[in-house]
Amino acid sequence: MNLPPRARLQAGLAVLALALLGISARLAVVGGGPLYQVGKELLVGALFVIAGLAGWARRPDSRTGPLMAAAGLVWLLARVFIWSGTGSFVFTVGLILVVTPIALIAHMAVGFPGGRISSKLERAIVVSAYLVILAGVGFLDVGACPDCPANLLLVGPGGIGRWAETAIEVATLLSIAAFVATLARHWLRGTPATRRMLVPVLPTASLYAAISATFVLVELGLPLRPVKSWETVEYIAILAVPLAFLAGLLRSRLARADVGTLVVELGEGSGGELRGALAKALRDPTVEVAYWTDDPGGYRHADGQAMDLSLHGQDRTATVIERKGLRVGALVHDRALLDDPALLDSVCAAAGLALENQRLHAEVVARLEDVRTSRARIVEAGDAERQRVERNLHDGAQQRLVSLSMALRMARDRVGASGDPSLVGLLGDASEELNLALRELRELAAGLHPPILTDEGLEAALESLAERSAVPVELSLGAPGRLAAPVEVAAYYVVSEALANAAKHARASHAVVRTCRADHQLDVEVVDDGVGGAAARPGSGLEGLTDRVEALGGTLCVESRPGEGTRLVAHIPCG
Amino acid sequence: MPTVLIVDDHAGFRRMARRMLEEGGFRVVAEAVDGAGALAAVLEHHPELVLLDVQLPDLDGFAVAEALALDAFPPVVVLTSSRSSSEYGTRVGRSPARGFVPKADLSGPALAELFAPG
Repeated sequence: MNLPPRARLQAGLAVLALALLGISARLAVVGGGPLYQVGKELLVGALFVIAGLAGWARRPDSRTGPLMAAAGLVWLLARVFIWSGTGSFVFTVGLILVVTPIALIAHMAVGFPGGRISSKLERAIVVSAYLVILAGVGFLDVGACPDCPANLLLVGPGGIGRWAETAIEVATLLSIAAFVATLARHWLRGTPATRRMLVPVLPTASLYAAISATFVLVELGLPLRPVKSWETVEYIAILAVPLAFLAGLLRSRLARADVGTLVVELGEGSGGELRGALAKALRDPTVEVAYWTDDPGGYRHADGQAMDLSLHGQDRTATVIERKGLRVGALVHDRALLDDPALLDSVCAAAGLALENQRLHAEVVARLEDVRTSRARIVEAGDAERQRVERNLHDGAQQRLVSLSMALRMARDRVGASGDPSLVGLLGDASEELNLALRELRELAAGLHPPILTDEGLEAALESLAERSAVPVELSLGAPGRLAAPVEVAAYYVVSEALANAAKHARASHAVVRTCRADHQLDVEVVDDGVGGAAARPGSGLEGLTDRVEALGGTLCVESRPGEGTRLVAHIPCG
Repeated sequence: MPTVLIVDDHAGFRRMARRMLEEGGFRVVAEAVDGAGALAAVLEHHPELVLLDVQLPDLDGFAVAEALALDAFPPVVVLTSSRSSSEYGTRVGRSPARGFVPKADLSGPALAELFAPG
């Protein structure tokens, strides 16, 4: 089998546990022990091994699993020694092994959830647990039973005596008290993530400690009657220990389901909720998101303030978030979360996705702004070009044709005086044709850019437009003074296009033009009583108008139901 | 013979207008190419009629007409343009000028009609 070394070790330990179970059960049956009692004893060891291996497999980074499995194996091994009935030496080793799991449990609880002993005080407590337990084998007759072999380590009543016994018992009590105090301290100082994991562990470990303390107090002669049911309570407490520790280890694992919710929440947008969603998924309300910026390189808060990742308390640490190999940010979070790297990894992956989305969103917004301004620039450039062409036409070709027309008229008049009617007719036709050309040229120029708009402003230009309109126009102008040139041009074209449509397509008999300037916005409305049915179809003049108005950040709305006339409303921001 | 000042920045138009007006019974006493030149020429030549183009390089025709109207004995001003009067909105109507003739319709008789109505 091609298993990783750790998995192979775990499989080996499981096989060893099964072997120990088999051997000890066999020894117990041969030794004639009551089956019910044997089963109860072996169940505890088996449970420790199973819970330990399960915790180890799910949380390979924590020492809690291996310690728990070790406690179970030692428990089973102790039964093999005790029940082998092969003499005092083996029995004495068995006694040591019987009490060792208690120290291992204390070790596991003090180091929970990572399993590492971080302070000198905690190390002292763990070491004293081992010493007190071993001393118990020597000074207290823990394994005493009528038919058992001798405890070789036992220093009998004739030896050190009753005082030493009392001293060991008091040390045991102190050790238990220190153990409970350590757990309480873990809880009080723990971050929310740690507390979540301690929830099942704390009561179970405290109960077990309390039961153990009770037995010691009875030994010390306190008037507590050793009630039979306490043994049941102790048994339940010891059974609960591996289950509670396993549950504690798995609590962060169970939070994994929240990562799915997190991904969904982040996918639904609202970038501002990123921190809140991460705090919820990690169950760490203190979590902070740092955004990485390349230029200048560094981490920032959401509001753009620079952020120093090294400035956080002892209980907190930072994890860098990468996306496609590039740094996108970091999470500053509870150090306890390091005990569940898988959870942290998935949350970081989700956060990376969200950060990248936010970055892309910001980029799109910036590009959109670029496009909007370039669109406005294009419209402005187009207008400037039209104005230039209009002026060129007016100053150049139009002037020359006007002079030519005057010359033709003079020639016609002169020839008319002397005779030759065919030449008079020809000159008259030429003059008329030239006047038609001039009118078309003038209309073309006026359509390109009305000079009155530049010279006199929107109101004068609209009055001129109304005067020339084929449809009678009622004007109601409420935007006196000058506006920005692009705004005036856009408003002018809205009215010009609407009046042209009213005459050409809508066959209207009357139109109303209203302008109004309020709250940094110019409103232009043109209503006609024509046939309606107008729409901003692709390539239509209305579409061009919409583009022009939107390029200025405005809106153009066309209401034109068939038979109900047409209403064109433009709202244009005008500073 | 009524005296005329022609104001236009296009030499071609001035040449043609001079011929047309002289044939129409006017005496062209001066030509000007811009608004400032027009005001100076009026002071110097005291023309009875000013044919004034609207689009000039410095002042526009409306401003020149207003300046001339302040004179104690103002000349008759007729505005002209290659554009139609409606392209100037109500400005033509508000101007102290006596009238407006599009360049395409300019003729001696048309001007004479405006200069001496009836």
